[in-house]
Amino acid sequence: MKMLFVRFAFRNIFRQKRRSILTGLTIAVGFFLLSLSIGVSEGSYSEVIDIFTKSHTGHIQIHHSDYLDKPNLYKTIDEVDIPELSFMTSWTPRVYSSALAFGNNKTLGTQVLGIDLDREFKTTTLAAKLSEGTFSEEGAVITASLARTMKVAVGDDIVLISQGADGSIANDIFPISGIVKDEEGMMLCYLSIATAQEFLSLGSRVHEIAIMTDSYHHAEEYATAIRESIGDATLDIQPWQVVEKSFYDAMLMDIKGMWVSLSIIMLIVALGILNSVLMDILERTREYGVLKALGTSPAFIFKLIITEMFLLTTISVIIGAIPAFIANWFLAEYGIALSEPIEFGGVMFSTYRSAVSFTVFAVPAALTMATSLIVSIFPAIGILRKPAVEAMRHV
Amino acid sequence: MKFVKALIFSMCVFGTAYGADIDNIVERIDTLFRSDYSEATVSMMITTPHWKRTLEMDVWSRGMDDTFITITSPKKDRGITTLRKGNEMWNYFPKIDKVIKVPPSMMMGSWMGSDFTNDDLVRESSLLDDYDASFVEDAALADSLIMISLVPREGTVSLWGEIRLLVRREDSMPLEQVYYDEHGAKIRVLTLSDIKELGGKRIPTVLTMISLIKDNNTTVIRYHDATFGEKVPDDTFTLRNLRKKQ
Repeated sequence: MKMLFVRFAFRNIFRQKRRSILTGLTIAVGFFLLSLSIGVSEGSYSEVIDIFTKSHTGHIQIHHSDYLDKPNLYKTIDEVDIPELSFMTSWTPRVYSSALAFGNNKTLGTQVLGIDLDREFKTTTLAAKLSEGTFSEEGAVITASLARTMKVAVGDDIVLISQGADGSIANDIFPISGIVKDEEGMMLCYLSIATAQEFLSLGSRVHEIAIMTDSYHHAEEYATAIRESIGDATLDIQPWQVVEKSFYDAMLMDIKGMWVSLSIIMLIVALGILNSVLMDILERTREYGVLKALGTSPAFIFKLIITEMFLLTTISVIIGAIPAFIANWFLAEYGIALSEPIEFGGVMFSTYRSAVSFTVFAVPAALTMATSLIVSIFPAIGILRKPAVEAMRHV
Repeated sequence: MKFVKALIFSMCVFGTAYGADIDNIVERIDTLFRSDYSEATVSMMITTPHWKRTLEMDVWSRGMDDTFITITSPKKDRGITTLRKGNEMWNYFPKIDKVIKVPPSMMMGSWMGSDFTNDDLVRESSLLDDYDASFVEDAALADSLIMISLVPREGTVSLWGEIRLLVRREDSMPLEQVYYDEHGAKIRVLTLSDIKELGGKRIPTVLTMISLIKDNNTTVIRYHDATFGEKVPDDTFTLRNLRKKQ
């Protein structure tokens, strides 16, 4: 007796199969659409973060305590034992300085980057950006923008003048051994770390250590783990969210924008569900009138309507989840190639990818459930208020 | 009335004598390390919180305007030369074989990372030409010392709002120069010490510059050897020599 309304609800669902299927289909399709759009936006962001962190930043970086706020030649990491933690996949040291570059009678301000060739290639995608020539221990590799502006090519010389860490004027001439692709306007000059350290009189000191881990999602916890493992308060160990704060903030802003457009999709889905649910209940006004006339308590009828909608929505969500999972998985695995690559935060990304995660299913499920329950409450109350006689006359 | 006239007259005379006196002292300081020609071997020790290094160099000068400096040590910087001719200045870097002109805007910039500006190093500024000098009365000052205040003349481009010189009365030997900015804040202090006979001239052979704004960065210039008045070939002060000199 207690669960009578549940049995009633089940019976109601299966009594009018066509009606239930139509309502259920609206809900399932709504769920599918929501899940897919959330999946694609999540997937695209993780694609951007992935490309971005692999491009240069890495997942975690180590600096001298206030290097990030005010970079300075003297704020170096003198000696540090990088621990071997299970989640770390690779790390690479770097040296930075700004310098005046001469070449072919042109003078330009550039940033000099000293990199450990082997480690850098294992950590980032720098090697893949090489468009001409090679990286070498003695030569300089410059960005295409710099090469274009200075009108120099592989084989020419580049003269760098900067400030040495011992107070001397760092000045030297380097053969250009390669050119890397870059975003428009990035004036970078890569040297091998040993060459850069000698050029800047830095000895074995470095400015930055970039660490790659098995997942950027856990960068914050990993950074904490590394911090504890090294235990040196003079070092600043931060995840990419802190290191690339402007990129991260821009992304958070963008995600906010994404939720605005997602909420429009949600609204459309909710309206669809509202329509079907409303029809489903109003169609049976007469039937509820009869139940009422027979002495069924209004509370029972109310519970009946809500339970029926709840069951129908649950079944529809489960049904909708199957194609949603397949579609998201497929897009996560293979993606859709974009005809025009889109740039975000200096990263070009060329495939739309989806993601399979808890959010991708939980958010649409909660949303469709809430919508269908909320929209069924009002017609249910409406029926209860209607006198039985009037309800029975309803066609 | 006569008395007043006499007083004014005597003041004028006294004033002129006083004025000539101060000009003499300033001019003496201006030419202290110079002559028609001079040649000197100098070391420069620079100490900052981040690094410390010593440069050895040879310096030639002609009159008040032309200077030629070549660094002889350390090895890394050997052959870097600086030429100043009149109002222009160039640095030459042998490693990259480049002559770089120091723009006028950089004349007050640091020379080779020291606390001396490009201008200090090559000319020690013409205090007489560019500044108005006056005596400073200071009761606390010992009788054997004179304090002179130098304020840039109108039209003089200077980093300093005022320079105060502490001079020994008996031989007009400068002992200290304090540099103030235009707001009257002390920026740096130059102490001149170890007065010795060098190349036929009595000069302070150790110049210690302490920057009060840059974490007490210190630069000590030490004169090891000097000759004054011996002619230096005129082609020393040429751009060609800048490249040639090793």
